[in-house]
Amino acid sequence: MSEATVFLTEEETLAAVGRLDRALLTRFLRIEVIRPADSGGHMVYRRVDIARLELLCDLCDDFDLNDDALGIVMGLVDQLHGTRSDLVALMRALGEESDEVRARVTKRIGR
Amino acid sequence: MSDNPYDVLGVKSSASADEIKKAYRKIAKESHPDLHPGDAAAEARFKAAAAAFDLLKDAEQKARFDRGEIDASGQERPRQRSYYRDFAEEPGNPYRQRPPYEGFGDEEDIFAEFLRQQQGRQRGDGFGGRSFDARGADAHYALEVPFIEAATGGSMRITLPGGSDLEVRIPKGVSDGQTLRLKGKGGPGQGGGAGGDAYVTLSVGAHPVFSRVDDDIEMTLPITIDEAVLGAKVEVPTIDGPVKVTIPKGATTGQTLRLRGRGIVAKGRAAGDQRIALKIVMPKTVDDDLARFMEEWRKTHGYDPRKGVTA
Repeated sequence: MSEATVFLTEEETLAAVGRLDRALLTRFLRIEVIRPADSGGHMVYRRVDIARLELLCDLCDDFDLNDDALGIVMGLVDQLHGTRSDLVALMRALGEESDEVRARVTKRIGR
Repeated sequence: MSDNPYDVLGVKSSASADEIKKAYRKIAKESHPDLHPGDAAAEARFKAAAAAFDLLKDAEQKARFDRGEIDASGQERPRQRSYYRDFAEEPGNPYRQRPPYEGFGDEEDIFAEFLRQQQGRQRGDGFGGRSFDARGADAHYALEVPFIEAATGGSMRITLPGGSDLEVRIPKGVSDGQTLRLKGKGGPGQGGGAGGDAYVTLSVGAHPVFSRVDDDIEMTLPITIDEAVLGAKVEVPTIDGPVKVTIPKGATTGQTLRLRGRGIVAKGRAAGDQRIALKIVMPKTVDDDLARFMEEWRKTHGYDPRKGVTA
């Protein structure tokens, strides 16, 4: 496949996320804001983990968040995205409904 | 907007490192794309501020910029990074959380939640007297899927740390990096709590013959010169087994044959095709017969395939 490797080892992950060092990664694992995947007994990092590590580095470097704050922020971020994803699904379903249904829902929301 | 990093951050060029950091933090707080999904203006603001801060946070680089040795974009490397947001709203995001719906039974379905609320309202027990239930922990697995299984679907097993097995049904046409969610297959719940989910992220292996472009399968088919000249019917592998394919008379290298609907047939998507690129392969040795024939043939049948091939 032409796309970037799906699973990265710890070494590759450290290389891929410039601002990340081993101590920081260990910290993210300890407070469980990063949960790598089990690949037959060893841990690998997925694309979603890499993107999440970038965000975590932003939060640590730029805002000096401590462990507790980091856990709270990530929990809220995940809730926000989960809720948005549900909302998108709902809007898509509504979009496929008839004009009459949509008009009625719009009216109810605007109560 | 000016690309002067001081303007981007809204500070004077005499600003201290602390002031610069403070200004950057303020913008990052208000416009980090992962914290403000769906706001394109915020994203642009954040990217500009991040680039500006990258340049100015380093005292030496800042001095070089101030001296005019480097420009705002010239020396600083653009940040090649992925954003969590791009993964976060995928249905397969293993970090996805929806605590507001927990404890109602089916935590997956916003519509089930909707119905439960309706019921609750009718019964008049909006909050319900739930005992202590804790949902099990989610488990995360990585699985390498061979090319053919990813294309045609199948079943694979993951060996769990405890020694037991987890069966993973691979739907037809899964893509590289896709995450499957196996409901309730994570850690066990406590009390009446449901089991956690297992998230299985897939890596699709390469194939020696086939490659994949979306739902199309591509391959190169070597043919002999006689097949190219005279045409032929040859057997060609597909992801679903071999089929007979007609090579047209006068086929040439690079010509593509298309087998409609022989690519990946995934649920909810139009069936892909198999595309076969022909490649004429010479015999291992050119024997006297062939050489003699060609000598004669070209005396009267010369042709120029390089017309227009100029620098």
